[in-house]
Amino acid sequence: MNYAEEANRCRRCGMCHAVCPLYKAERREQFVARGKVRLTKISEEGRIELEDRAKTTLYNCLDCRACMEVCPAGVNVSRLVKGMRKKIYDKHGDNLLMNVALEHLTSYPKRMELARKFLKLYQTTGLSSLVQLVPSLKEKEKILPAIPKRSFRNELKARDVRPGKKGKVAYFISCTTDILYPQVGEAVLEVLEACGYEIYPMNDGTCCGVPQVGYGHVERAKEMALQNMRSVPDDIGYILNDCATCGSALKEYPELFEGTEHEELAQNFAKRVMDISEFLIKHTELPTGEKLGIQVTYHDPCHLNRAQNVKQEPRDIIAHSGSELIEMENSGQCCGGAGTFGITHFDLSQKLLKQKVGNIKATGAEAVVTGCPACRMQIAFGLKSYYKDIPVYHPVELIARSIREKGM
Amino acid sequence: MDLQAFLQVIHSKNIEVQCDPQDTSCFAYDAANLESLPGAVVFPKDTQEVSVILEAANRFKVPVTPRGAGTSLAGGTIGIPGGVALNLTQMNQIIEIDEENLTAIVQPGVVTYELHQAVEKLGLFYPPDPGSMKMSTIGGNISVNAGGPHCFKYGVTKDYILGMEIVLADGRIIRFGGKYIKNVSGLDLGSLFIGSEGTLGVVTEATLRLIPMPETKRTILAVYNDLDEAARTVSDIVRNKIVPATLELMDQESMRLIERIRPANLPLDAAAAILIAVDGPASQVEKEMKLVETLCLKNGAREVRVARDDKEQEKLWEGRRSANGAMSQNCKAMVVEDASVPRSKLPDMIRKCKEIAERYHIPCAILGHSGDGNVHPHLLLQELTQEEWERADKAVDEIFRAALDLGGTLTGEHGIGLVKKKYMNWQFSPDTMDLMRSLKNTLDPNQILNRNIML
Ligand SMILES: Cc1cc2nc3c(=O)[nH]c(=O)nc-3n(C[C@H](O)[C@H](O)[C@H](O)COP(=O)(O)OP(=O)(O)OC[C@H]3O[C@@H](n4cnc5c(N)ncnc54)[C@H](O)[C@@H]3O)c2cc1C
Ligand code: SF4
Ligand code: SF4
Repeated sequence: MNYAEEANRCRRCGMCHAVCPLYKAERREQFVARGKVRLTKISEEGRIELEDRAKTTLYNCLDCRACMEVCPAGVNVSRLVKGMRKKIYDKHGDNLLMNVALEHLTSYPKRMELARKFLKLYQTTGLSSLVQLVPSLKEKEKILPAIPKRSFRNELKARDVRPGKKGKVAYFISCTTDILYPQVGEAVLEVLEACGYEIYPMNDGTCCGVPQVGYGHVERAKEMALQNMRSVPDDIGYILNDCATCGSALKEYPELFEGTEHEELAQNFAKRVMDISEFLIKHTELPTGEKLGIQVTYHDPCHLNRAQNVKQEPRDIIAHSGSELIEMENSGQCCGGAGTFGITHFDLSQKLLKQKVGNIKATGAEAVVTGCPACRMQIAFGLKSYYKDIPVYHPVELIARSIREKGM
Repeated sequence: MDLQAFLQVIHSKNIEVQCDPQDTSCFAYDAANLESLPGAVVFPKDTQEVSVILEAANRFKVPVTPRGAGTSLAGGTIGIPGGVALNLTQMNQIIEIDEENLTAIVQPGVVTYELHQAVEKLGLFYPPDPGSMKMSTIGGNISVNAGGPHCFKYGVTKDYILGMEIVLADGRIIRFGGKYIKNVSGLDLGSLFIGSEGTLGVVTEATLRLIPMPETKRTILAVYNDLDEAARTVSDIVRNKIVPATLELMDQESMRLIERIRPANLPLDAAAAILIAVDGPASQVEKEMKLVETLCLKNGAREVRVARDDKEQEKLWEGRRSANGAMSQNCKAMVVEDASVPRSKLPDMIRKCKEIAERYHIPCAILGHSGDGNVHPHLLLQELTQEEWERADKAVDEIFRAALDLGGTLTGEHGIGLVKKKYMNWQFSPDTMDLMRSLKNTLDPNQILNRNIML
């Protein structure tokens, strides 16, 4: 992408002010798209160097894309911000911690499994009380839910793949599902099998690369993308996933490889990627299970609602499970989780989270449903901190449960 | 200008300030096609801090540019390079809504739409509704006396200002007006400051007049093959003593562009359409709607569409509001003008704009607040070459000449700012200009506030 050209499309109309959750919270121009687009423009025109202050501005972004939804000029703010972060990384590198995390840890499922075991140990032993001594960490580390006994990848190993009449679909295993919410992966398999599909789990794949792209480590992200793309046979028509962020990242692989030899491969991969809710509604005959009869509210993940334009399908799934949906106000406003933003910008993130929890509370729903495990983690934390500990589900879990309860 | 000495004061008083170009460049622009890099941006959190800032600026002769949301289409926030941008967005509290006196007291950084939402919850109404209301600030609205579709019936921002607190260029704080509708005490200072585009003082608080929310609102779209018929309808409606809440005119080009991004079933082959909204008590609205419909048809409307429900109504307005965006998508840069002429001259003005744009080979879409004679020709630039900008400049010159010849004014609501400054001499006699300048010199002898704007 020609960043200068893209940035020059901005009309400086300020429409993004009206929707940017960070701008609304901070009211300083650096927090809104218009300011970031400006930095991009003058940096690309060689009028300014992107140093610390610019970096701060460019990291003050949730990638929630609310701005892109209203931008009359159609500026691709997300790509500009990511592009400038890469530019900064290419010039200045990253600190040791981030380098270890992004280059050597999160991109390797086996190492993540080790990290998971460590976290588990840490949560179950006295180790965690040590960290609690550091007040700034104390709050933040509560965001992490209880680590389950087994990762989803490990559960998969212990499980046979059932052949299905309808053919094969690939399933991308997101890190959050793998490490924190294996029950979601379990539900996806159950429901797809009930619909007659054989699942091809992308065991040889790795993380989608969002953290890498987000911090400008684009070369590493490309290696990971190649690994993911090569882990699915060509004859599989759909690559399904249950994480909004992973899904949008996979769909955006062509952007990573724009103008390179792998562009076609990426396009061929990306067009097969689909969110699980969309797939279930559009391409299957969902079995009808027991009516769950619970009242839920739905949070629209930014990367599902805006990045993938999947809004109605998760709602249809809720209805199909016999649950009642009570819409919350501003269901599409970012929960503030936004990957690592919730940790790096804890206070700001909590501001957004409190608004989200307030809107949830106002519905009186007994559970929250959302199509993204990262939002789920944030919202579950918010509910515990600012309301009460009501459950958060992935839409697919509702269907799985209704099928299970009917004994199908 | 001694910026360093100024900054020392700011630092010593712990006022939030940013000086790194990586920060200040985010305050170097507004919605006009101009820029100027401030040497510092200050973020006062209350009136006292604004006063400290201006006192220091005045002492060290540092030029200051007040700034709300920076949505000015006239370059009103484009200051002297290296000067100070005075950002008022941190002062964004609605201090009070008084349901008994129907007033609100707000800080200048309150976003217009946020005020709308807050008062509407109480069944009250703050009518000024500039197209930018979801981002513009009340301070910015006051400073350009902003208007919007509601103006024809309900008046402009000025009609809703009961009192203000102003910090003068030397830091002194003055207050006038209050929670009373009738007030003839002393000179009408409100009139002096409202619309002064930040050249005379900084608005730090305003007492606003609210009215009860009208009971209902209905919308009609009337479609015409001939511009004059549309204009005749407007005159006829007014002659029949109906005052619609809004009377918005869209020309063929605007409708074509809107329809492309937000389909609202607008007729693409018609010369013009007017969007008419009538509001008030339900029974009266019903009667007026019937009459409006008849008048539209009588004056040659080829089609009259009455929005059946809120949803249809919203769709039509959504389309109108997306006009600016629709136009953005069809050009590389946009020059939006804002001349205002007597209502009866509106069709002449629109024809003139079209003719001029055609002569200079610049695509042009026209929106108008036909109730009040305010026209917004949007010149859609396609190449951004020097030559094209020059053509656009000449076209704009002619548009303003035409507006003045028709007995109109340079700007109905966007303000003079930087972009229309050179035309001031066209509209005003040397004596009138002198009077304006001497007022400015009295209030701001050191030319601290918006020195380059308007005058
Ligand atoms: C898409 C779009 C649609 C628009 N539609 C309309 C419309 O329908 N009607 C209309 O009238 N305008 C319209 N505008 C123009 C603009 O939004 C208005 O002029 C608005 O009032 C500006 O408010 P702001 O807070 O952005 O002020 P800014 O742009 O920040 O400032 C405007 C001027 O006021 C001065 N100023 C700001 N705050 C203060 C203060 N507290 N004290 C003293 N001076 C101050 C500034 O120095 C500047 O000269 C539109 C603009 C856009 C981009
Ligand atoms: S909405 Fe789009 S065009 Fe308008 S200021 Fe924001 S980024 Fe620029
Ligand atoms: S992506 Fe979200 S946080 Fe980032 S600028 Fe756009 S609206 Fe603001």
